Amino acid sequence: MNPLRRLLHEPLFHFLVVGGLAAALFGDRGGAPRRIDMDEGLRRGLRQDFQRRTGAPPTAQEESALLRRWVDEEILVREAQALGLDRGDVVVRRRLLQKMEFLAEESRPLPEPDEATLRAHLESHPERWQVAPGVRFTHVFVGRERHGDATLADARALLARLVAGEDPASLGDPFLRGREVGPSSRDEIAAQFGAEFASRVTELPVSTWSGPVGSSYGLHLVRVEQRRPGGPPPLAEVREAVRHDWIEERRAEARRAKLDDLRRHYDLRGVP
Amino acid sequence: MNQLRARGRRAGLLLALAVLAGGCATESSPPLAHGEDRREPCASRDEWRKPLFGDLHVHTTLSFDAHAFEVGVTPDQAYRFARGESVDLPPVDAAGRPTRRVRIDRPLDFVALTDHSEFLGEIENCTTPGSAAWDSETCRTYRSADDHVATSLFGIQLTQEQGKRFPDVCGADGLGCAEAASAVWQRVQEAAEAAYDRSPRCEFTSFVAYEYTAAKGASTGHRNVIFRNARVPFPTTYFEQPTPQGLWGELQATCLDAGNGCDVLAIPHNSNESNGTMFAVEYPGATTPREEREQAAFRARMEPLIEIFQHKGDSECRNGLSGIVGAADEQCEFEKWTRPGPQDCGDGTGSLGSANYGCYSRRDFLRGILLEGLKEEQRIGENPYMLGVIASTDSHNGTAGRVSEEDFGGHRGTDDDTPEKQLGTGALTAGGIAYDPGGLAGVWAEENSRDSIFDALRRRETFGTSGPRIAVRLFAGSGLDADLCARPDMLREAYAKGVPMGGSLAATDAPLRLLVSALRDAGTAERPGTPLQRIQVVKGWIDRTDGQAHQQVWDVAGDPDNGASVDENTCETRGAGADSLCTVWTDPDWDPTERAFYYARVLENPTCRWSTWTCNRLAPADRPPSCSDPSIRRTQQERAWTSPVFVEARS
Repeated sequence: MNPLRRLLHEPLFHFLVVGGLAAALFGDRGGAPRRIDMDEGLRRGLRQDFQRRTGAPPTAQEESALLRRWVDEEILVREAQALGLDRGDVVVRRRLLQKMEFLAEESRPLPEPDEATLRAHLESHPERWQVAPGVRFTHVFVGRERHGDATLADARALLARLVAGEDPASLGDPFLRGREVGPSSRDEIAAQFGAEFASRVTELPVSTWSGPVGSSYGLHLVRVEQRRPGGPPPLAEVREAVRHDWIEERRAEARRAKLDDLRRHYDLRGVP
Repeated sequence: MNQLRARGRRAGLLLALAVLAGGCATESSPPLAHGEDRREPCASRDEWRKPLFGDLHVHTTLSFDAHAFEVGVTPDQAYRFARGESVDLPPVDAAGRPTRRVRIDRPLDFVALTDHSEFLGEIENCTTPGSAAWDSETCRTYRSADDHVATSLFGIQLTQEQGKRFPDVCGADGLGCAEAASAVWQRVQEAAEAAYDRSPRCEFTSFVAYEYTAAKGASTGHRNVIFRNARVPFPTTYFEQPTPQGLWGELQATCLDAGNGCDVLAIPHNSNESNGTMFAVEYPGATTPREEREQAAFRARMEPLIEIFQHKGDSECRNGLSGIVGAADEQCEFEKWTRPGPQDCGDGTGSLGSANYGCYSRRDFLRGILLEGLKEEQRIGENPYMLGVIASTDSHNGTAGRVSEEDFGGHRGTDDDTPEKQLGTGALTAGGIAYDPGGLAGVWAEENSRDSIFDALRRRETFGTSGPRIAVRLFAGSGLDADLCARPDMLREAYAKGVPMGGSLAATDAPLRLLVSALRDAGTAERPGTPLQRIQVVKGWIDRTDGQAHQQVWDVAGDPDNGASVDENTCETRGAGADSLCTVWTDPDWDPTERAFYYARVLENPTCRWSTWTCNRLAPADRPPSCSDPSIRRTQQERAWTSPVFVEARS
């Protein structure tokens, strides 16, 4: 059951709405006797609620007890409202607010967004799905732990061999994390190699051996294979995320619109 | 009453099946139906696998205990937090706004949100104005009582022999909560779907998951249930399935055998609070060795991993317990809680572990559990405890991967939102200063996708860390070359001639070799990672002649006496350590006729424990007594643990 229908079946909801109405209509204690109508919908709601709690429908006797109790409560609620006891009560206030939010959301069911809608949504908020620029690179590692003071000299010697065309797979120290990386953004590279390495690698020229570049682990000779431009991705890549975001935004809008609509019925003074 | 309960249970199951069936048949209804595992291939795919860091144990506002402590972080927000955005935490101010804003400095690669499956519907009902249960006694108490009372109100049901749902919240037949829970479960799935990066960038993976929260006798029997993809059944709870066997059975029936691509595994955690019950050797209902064997194999299939580190401390090992032969391991004195009362369960079990009472069993800690598994393998021919290793946080703030010692901000809403509470003794559990910021789960995966990570979890090519992003690999094989650490083709060779961690291999006459290699945490520009001190190898085996369980620890790389230290007053570190460590180690005591396991432990140089950072920030006059309590360690060595490799003895 959707929240609105559940709400409408809820005796508590009837207390508040019917009670509020009654207070408005019959609030003056000097007038005619206030009227309480037990319609069939209300009786059914009470029966269902009873069955849900106990597992069986109420007997005739139980039902009349339910009705009597409901009337007692109804009278007390109306009297309480007449006395203004509901005003200034934080709990009542919060509950009413949440109910109104449900109503606002549910009164306008959202249509499934079509392709054009999603595309427009993506294009109007490119920053939300922006891809950071990135690089894919091959590297040959020269570890400080193994090479000590000779690390820099060994790395330079290796660079010469790489530039001369030797196979990178047969050179350098093993690297735990593998020798081919990316495409990865600067932040991703920083998380694995350190921030300084990441800034330098993202600036290197493509398809040529460079270095040595220092990382948290030692020196690396690096060949950038490919650069990935930054920017928004095509819709196909982020469809679900865009759809989710669009729906959330429409929900928020529906709440806002409802509120703006209601605001017009109020004479606001001293408020911005 | 019993009849009603039975009816309720049956109705709950029917509903669960209906939801499951609905889940399979909704090809036309987005968002969950389409693209189950239809996804763009990842642009970056690493043949030799790369280390990914994640958190497989995180609670949001959907968990009854998080919500009770005013945590409002939703699943959507928790996923965004894991990717680097901030979230707001309680306490709330007079206008109802959270007063703390936190973020992590490095995004995670993957996350499973594991809200308690029990009470998903109850909390929805009790916190939704207008629900049929809103005005019930139970809901009123939950909303208005002291946060600890509110948590216990529900939590206590998870410790009872026959836990009960509350009829005034759920209706006599329980359907009121089942219905609400299915709406919540739908939202859980939608949030996971929205967070999963199906684009070729493959930057983030979410898993649909929940925590099964059995704690009979207040001994922890908790498991996180993690699904491979969006094909998921309705969550199982302690109420329908009060035993782990029942949980696995239901997962098999509703997921593994569903024929719809559903795949699942369960990860037990906090065995350190289980008083020997979580890994007690028992095969309920089995009357023959064959039936025991079948149960052992089923268990190993359903539970390939164990979470050995999180907020509530370390479950790797504990000194001083009976049943294991070998010297004390000083590195076991790490994030341990102390308890009153008798300390050793021996071969038996106890109770009240989750309240930090009762006995400890050797089977409450990874090492003893693995040894028990070897014994069972010897006895019945099947190892029920072939466990790989992960760590996670168990955050109840929805703050996945928030593991920094320097600015630990508590783990559960208003339960520990201030330094005074964090450094106290803990109100609900022992908690307080005994807590830890928690750890991370590491996997070696080809790419950051659900399939690739889930496969790594299944084959146990995983590791855990106490927080830092240390990357560590372990390979085993008697044919591994001794010079691998200098070979550019190390990884190719290691995979070709050995098995990676999590695997098993048959013993040969040639002594076993291990290739162990670790990279320190690269850290960030503001907070560089801590250098490594050493790598240790831990071996456990069953003695061929006396049948006793043994342990031994070796330092295999790095230097335990490297002179590095930390100033307790400023937390400044001094001295050098290693950026990377690598070695090929040969077992000096190799005996191919013994069943054994080996795993590696990587230690960082010493740093300040979180409580030292927190104490140091307080003015001396404001520091609580715990800041000078000699039983609280002021410094620590953060670490990583690999999954073990298992050696099948030659007969």
